[in-house]
Amino acid sequence: MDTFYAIPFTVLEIPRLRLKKPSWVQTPSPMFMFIVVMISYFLVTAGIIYDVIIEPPSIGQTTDDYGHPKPVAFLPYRVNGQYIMEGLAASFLFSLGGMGFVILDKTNQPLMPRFNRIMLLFIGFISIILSFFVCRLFMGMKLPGYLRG
Amino acid sequence: MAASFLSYLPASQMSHEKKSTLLTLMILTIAAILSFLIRLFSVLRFESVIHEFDPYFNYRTTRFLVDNGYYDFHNWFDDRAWYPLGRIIGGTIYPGLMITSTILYNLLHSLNITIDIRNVCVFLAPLFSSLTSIVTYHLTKELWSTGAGLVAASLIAIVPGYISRSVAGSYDNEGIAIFCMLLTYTLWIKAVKRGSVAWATACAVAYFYMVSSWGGYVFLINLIPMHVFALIVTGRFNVKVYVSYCTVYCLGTVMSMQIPFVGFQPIQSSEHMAAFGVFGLCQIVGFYQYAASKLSKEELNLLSRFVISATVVVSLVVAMALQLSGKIAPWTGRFYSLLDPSYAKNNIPIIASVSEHQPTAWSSFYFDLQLLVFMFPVGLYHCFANLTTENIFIILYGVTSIYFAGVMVRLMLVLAPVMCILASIGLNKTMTSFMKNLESTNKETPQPKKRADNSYSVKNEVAMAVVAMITLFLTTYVFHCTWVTSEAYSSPSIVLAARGGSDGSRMIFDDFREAYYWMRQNTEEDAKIMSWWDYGYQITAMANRTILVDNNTWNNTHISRVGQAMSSTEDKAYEIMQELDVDYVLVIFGGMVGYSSDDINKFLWMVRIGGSTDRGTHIHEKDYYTPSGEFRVDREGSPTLLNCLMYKLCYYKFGNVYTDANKPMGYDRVRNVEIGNKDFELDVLEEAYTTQHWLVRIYKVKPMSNRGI
Repeated sequence: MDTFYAIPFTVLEIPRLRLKKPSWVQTPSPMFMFIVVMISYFLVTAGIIYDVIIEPPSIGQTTDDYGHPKPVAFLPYRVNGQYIMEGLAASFLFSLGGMGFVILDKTNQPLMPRFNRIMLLFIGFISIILSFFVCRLFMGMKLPGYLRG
Repeated sequence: MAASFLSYLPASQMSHEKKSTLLTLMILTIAAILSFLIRLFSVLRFESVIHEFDPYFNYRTTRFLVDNGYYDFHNWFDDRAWYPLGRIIGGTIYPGLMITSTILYNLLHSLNITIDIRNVCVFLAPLFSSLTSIVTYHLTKELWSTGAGLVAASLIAIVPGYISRSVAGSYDNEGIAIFCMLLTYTLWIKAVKRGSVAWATACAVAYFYMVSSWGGYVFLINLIPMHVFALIVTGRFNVKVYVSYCTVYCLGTVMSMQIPFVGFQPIQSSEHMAAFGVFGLCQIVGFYQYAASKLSKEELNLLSRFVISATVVVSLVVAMALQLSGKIAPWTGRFYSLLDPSYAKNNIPIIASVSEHQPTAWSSFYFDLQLLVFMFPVGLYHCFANLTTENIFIILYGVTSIYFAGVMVRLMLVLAPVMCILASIGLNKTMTSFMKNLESTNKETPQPKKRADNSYSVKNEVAMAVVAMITLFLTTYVFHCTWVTSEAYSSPSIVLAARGGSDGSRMIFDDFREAYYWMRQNTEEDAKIMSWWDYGYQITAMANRTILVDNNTWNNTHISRVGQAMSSTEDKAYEIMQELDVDYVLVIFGGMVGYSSDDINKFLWMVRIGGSTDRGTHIHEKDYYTPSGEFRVDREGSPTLLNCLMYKLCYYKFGNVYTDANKPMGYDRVRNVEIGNKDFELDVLEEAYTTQHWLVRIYKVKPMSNRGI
């Protein structure tokens, strides 16, 4: 059987190459992949695909009673429509809220300097609570009847 | 005192295992009942009626299947749609939904519970959502733990992203497809963890059920091979994965080809090639691992060099030959637009015009998922921190469905289950790790040793704060989901309701059914109706008349011809109507009551689609705008627009009515302008019927005059 597998190599000569895989190429660690996934989550939930296809303005504009132009942050009355800035702001809050929970998980390690633990707890709680309630606020600004029937 | 009373209750006598089983059963039952009940808003507010457009087609085919049996259904050629082309219904639908309803209907009737087929269809989706809740529990239990499973079942019972396509009355493929998809995934994970042929066969059967129910099965047949490929790349490929994937791929592909609509696609189209490629790769990797365990190093090197060079040469030749001879079809329009979202916008106006196919904005994510968008990264983090064979699957599912949901808002439906699963993993891990920190108040356990960890003195208080915060979040989630379901996703679309009139009472607009029933009773049996494709399914199901184009939109040229007729002047349109044998024309007009999804708002799509084929090259979209580029129907409007057939049919005799006491006659309440062309007469059509609120207007096509001019 060995002679059969060796047949092509009676005709073909294997070149003597000194190829080495470069040392900096290695399978990425799970946490590196997590960071890549988080960046893509931030971009997708910001509605980047919506921005590229529909090309909305970055901020809306309306004129007030005196004729002066006023900026409008949120595209009102439409659930599936946005301006670019509001999408980025909202998705930043989504990611911040998620990271707050991750930070909170890290505070349970047994041996940690007291200052570090208090700092992590503080950042974690603030991230979660802030992002959650500000997102509710954003939704209320976008849909004027939100949670009021 | 309280403790002694509690000790008399049977619950406290039970062992820990019995208590947990009871709790699990109770929570699952409550979740299943809840998922059924929350979808009943529109049945309670209106009646048990089929919603929207597509469900009417499914309802009509189910009625046909119940009345005529499976063989007639399989061979059904429908000559009442797409006149004069007809449609081979037996070969162009996914029959799973209809067959499920018919089996349920026959089962109930055999028990003498004579529920009408309409009610079976209306309540099928909520029933399957209860089953989805239970299947999600099993899937998450396999992936993580029982606690996470219970949280996932509760979250998915009320998540708005899933409710939107499965309310009572929304009788569409997605109602059962999500259940089939999650069932297939559960059985796949069970098979991969155990490596048993029995579970893998069950997975293949569930996959067959999935293929029969929805075109989105392509997602499954690409995700499972992607999972296997990820396992190969990360070095977790073993004999269990090999056995599971080979069984699932072979049996699943053969079974999926039994559906006439799928046919030979699994071995011909590019969308299925990834599965085939991974199948081949599995064999190679499996063989390599086997050979490595049996051969010495030099023998292995020789063998692998030979096999690699032979495989590369053969596969390149075969792939080139198949590609050049056209046997392998490239990715089709709908699926290609998922990879390149701008493709539909630039090339296929019909796909671009459907509002469900628009990309997703941030507010749709938050509206449909609320708390889950925050917990999704947490669940992902914990899965990445504890990588196992099954966690890699759920990570891949989550990442791919986030991308697809971002491209098309309709696919939020596919994202909702994985959001629930990953969020439940995040919530469960957070809660368990913090509840461990809570101090037990039970006096019977011995006092814990002095905490070795003096740096964390507020452990108990922090844990209580975290638990309270998560409870608050879950409560707001429930309120949000109920509000969203009640306000946004429970409208039947065929019946409209509004608060209006002098006393602010609720007004019901039942114009659509009024018009369809008028048509059913007052037109000839073989009358042909021309309308825009949105209303096709409803006309065939309720009015039982032949139509030209419907929501299946399989023939772009035919739809384009109808678009040309609507965009042209009356005499040009008359030629097209004579060519297509049209007897009646139906338009939807919302200017009287302020209904904004009417045909004038859809008109630009008719122009675009009408102008996109070769017989419509004389139609240019810019002719219908004012010189300054606006779309206006008042005096400033473009003359082409003010004289086209659609304008005339919508605004015929509208110039003589007052819609509002403060406004002039002919004031359009949707466009908020007074219309430009008021006094005109129709030459080739005559008004046949206008409904009570002018929503539906039907015109009869006059026959050609006896003495031609």
